[in-house]
Amino acid sequence: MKLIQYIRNNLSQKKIRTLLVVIGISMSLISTIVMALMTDYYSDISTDFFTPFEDYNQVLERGTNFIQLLPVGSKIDLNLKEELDDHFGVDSIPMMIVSNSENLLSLHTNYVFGIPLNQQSQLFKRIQLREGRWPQNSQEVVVGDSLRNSTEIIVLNQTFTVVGVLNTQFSYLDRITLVDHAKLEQLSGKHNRTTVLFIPNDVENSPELIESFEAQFEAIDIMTTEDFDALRGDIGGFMDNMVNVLSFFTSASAIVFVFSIELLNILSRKKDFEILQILGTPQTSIFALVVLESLLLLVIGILFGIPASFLIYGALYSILMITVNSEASFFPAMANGLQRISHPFPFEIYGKFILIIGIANILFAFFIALLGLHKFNISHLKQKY
Amino acid sequence: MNSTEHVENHSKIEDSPEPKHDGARNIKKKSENIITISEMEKTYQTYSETLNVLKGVDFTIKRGEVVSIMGPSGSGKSTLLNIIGLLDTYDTGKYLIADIDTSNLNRRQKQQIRLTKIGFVFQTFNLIQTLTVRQNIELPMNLMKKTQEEQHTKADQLLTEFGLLEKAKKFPYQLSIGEQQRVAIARALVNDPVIVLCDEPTGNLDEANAQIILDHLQKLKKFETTILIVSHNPAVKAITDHDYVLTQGKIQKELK
Repeated sequence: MKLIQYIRNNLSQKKIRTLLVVIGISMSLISTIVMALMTDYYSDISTDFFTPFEDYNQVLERGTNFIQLLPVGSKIDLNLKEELDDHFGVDSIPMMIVSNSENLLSLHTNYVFGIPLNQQSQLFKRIQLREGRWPQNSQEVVVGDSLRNSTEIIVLNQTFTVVGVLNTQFSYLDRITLVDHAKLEQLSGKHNRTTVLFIPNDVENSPELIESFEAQFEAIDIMTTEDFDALRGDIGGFMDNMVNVLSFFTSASAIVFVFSIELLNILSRKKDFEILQILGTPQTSIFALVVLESLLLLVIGILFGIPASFLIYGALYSILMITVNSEASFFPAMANGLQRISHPFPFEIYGKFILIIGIANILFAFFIALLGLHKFNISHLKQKY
Repeated sequence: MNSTEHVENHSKIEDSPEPKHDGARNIKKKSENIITISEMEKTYQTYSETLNVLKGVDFTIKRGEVVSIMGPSGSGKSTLLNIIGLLDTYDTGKYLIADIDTSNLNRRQKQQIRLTKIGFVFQTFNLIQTLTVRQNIELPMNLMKKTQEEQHTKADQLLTEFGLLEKAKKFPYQLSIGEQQRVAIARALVNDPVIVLCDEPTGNLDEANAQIILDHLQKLKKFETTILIVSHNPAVKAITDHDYVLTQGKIQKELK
């Protein structure tokens, strides 16, 4: 008999214990990795969310330090551009059409304008309506809070009836207008696009101009890039903090979980240790057995944990997709989610957490084995008196 | 296994080199006394009082003797057995096992003596449940770094002797309690110890199984195995050379 057989028998004979330990290690790995992937994903979303259009950063880099888009559906229509230019005394960048609808459906962006009617309530479930109802046909729209007094909204020269007001949390979303996507496409003649207006830097240095503009167009609250970036920074910082806090607590929970598993695994073999010691097994051999067994269980746990985390992430992703898109179905959405994390494969996240769980597992095995050898001495097996 | 083989195996203890501690060299002298205890005292401190469990115990066990220690519960039998098995320490007095003075042994030396010189048989068997019968028996030999072949050969001999060959691949929980105790005795003998310490070896057994175990222990007499039995079972006296009674921390020899 070789001492290694003790480990092999232990794992094969105590199947439930082995299974629980492996599941425990896998779960620790899965929870940390899935949490990291999800927070990473939401971090991406938040970055997108606070980037009003795809070229926003590039536009800023080019030095066109312009302000916020003015959503389609506000009272500004294309004909107002000249009026704006006159008002500010500058040539504004012509209204742009930016992509958003397509991204919206995959949760990549946040600035929402054109959304299919049947998806609006799902997509804005969390926002809720402050008043009114969701649109039931393409002539009806819901608007942000600052547009609540409007009964009608003009979008691309088409008049829409305001039937609901969104209960938004962020001021710039107050200016949102949700139009039926198909209708928006039809009006703009362009797919997945909506209107954005840039106003030159100079205006930012002339607050009186902005104020007078806002006074003239009550429904419009102009936001400077400075304001917007500040808001973006605040919320981005909040998201980053949230990611860090979640990551910390998940890792801490996983580590505590692994510690408990290791402790229970070793406690359950208290008597074996004591018998081995009575029979004259050197403590170093017992120590090596414990550590070796922990390593083996760790490897098995990781081998199970990697594909399981992949699948669980995919499943969670698909569930989220279904909640925001009633037309989404589980398996295609899951395939989409799996594709999302496999291209590119997040080696950094996996490597980081395998290392954390692995090191924690080995350290705990060392620590608990030492503790065990100190505490599980032969005095427990011998009778007194 | 025939008796000649057993004697040959048993004699290996004396012949085999044992460089780990001084005691091994002393065994070569074939000392008459395997266990020598004199003026041994042991106290336990409880929350409320100090218990003098052993109050100057003197006795010896010679090579090949089978000795029993009896006494009421709380008389100190198990404490004495634990001390003899180097599982516990004593306060004063002297204790020699195979001429090795145990007073200044460190944990590693004690562990080495337990491995090479002492066989343990417990009331609750203390077999490792995840090892097969064969593996349980071979375990102490593995710790002695014996080859796989040596382990198998010796295990086969003991399995045959104790009628366990067919159960070799079974796990302890698949055996009857009598069979488990036989495995425990086989394991205790596997490294040819100078003494086998039996703590209530029949305590968990019915009368029939207890008799089987006593028969096996009796067989060991002819191989000059030294055995110390702590028991409540008067039937043990049938196989012993000497019987001691431990009462109130003092030991007295009973007349046979």
